[in-house]
Amino acid sequence: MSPLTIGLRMTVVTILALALQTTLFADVRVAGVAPEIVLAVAVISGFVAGPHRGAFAAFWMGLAYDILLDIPTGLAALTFCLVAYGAGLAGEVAFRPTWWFASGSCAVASGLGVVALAVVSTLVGRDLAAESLLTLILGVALLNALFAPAIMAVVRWSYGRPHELRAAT
Amino acid sequence: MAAPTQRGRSWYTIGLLVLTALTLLTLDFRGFGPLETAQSGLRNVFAPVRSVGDAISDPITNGADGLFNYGELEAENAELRARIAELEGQAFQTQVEEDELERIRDVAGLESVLDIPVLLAEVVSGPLGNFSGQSVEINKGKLDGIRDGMPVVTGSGLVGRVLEAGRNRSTVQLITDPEFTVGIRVTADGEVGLAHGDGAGSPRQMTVDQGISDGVSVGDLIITSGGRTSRFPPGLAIGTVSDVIDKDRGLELKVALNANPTDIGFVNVVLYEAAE
Repeated sequence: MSPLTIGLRMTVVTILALALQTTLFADVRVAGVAPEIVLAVAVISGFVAGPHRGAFAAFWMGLAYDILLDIPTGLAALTFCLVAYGAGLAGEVAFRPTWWFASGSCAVASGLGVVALAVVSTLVGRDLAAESLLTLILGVALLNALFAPAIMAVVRWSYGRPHELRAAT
Repeated sequence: MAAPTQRGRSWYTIGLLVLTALTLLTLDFRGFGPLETAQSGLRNVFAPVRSVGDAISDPITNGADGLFNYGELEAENAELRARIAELEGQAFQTQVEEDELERIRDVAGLESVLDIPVLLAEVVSGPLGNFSGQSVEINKGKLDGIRDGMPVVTGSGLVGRVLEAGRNRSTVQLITDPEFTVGIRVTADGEVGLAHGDGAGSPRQMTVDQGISDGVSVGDLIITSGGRTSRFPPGLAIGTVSDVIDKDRGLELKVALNANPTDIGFVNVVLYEAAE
């Protein structure tokens, strides 16, 4: 699959994730916590495409997230790309294309992503979290884990089969 | 040799991305004009996608509400009916007093906050994400005459201000946001001070920790102070003093808000622009 096709597919997936995040999941919350669908897509991109491509895709997803969700520009771009990079490195060692791997690893990485977002937003002087940090970490980890298998399927479709991805790299 | 090269490229990429993100963060905090224009433009481009998303998701969220919160809604309805009956009784007396006040203002040549036009808007979304701060989105924007900084009220009082007016939608920073500040006046003795939101943990409270020196007691009414450079006109209701704490540098007041910013369906945008 050509890099252009991968880019186009990931753009569509990102737009869909952002639309879900800013419409349905702005209202449907569990204990005041919304799933972080865009973060989940970024993390799974890291697992599927590796640290280099995953971090690159996650940066652009984070940037779009910053702009549309009205948080300081660069904040989610920074944290998403770091988390996706970490997920990519971990995926190189232990990636398993199964639903339980997708859910478990996405839960852990999403929890770390929430911590990173909270830390960076505090460092830049903006306490942006709407709920307590522990509630956010647990809530986002749990909700993202639920959606992870579906997101894994969509992201794997975007990047094509592993040999196609290697050919495009 | 391929692996080290790839690892090197990987480090180079992540370094470049981190640097770019930090640069954007710096520019954002410095209020870099072109960046703000780009942000606003991208939000406008994405607005139709969100409108379609809202049209699809609204029936789902409404259905879920009806399914899971039916009992709660029924109890809330009964409570609201009782409250309406009580308020109708108070409304008559309030109208008499308002007419009297208006007559006095006319005689004294004073402006009233009631003379400023308002625009009704629907709250179409709460905070968009877990990190969107204390804000909501309304369905009116620049095309309807809304501008950045305009006060936003409900029938109960001040609930926020327009943080950013888009073409057809605007983001409203709620009064509970710790970064929300407003000049206040205690109606009983005219003391003025500066209040700020107390954050999501205290959704119906503000704190006044600057300017108050003496003579304020629990139950005193708090309104906006207004003034030549204030973003808010004088006289908008905020709340009542719920606690007075003696501090070294003066009094700290806890203010129980009149309006409930966590439960608003419709708001009025006060079409008031502060003097430059």
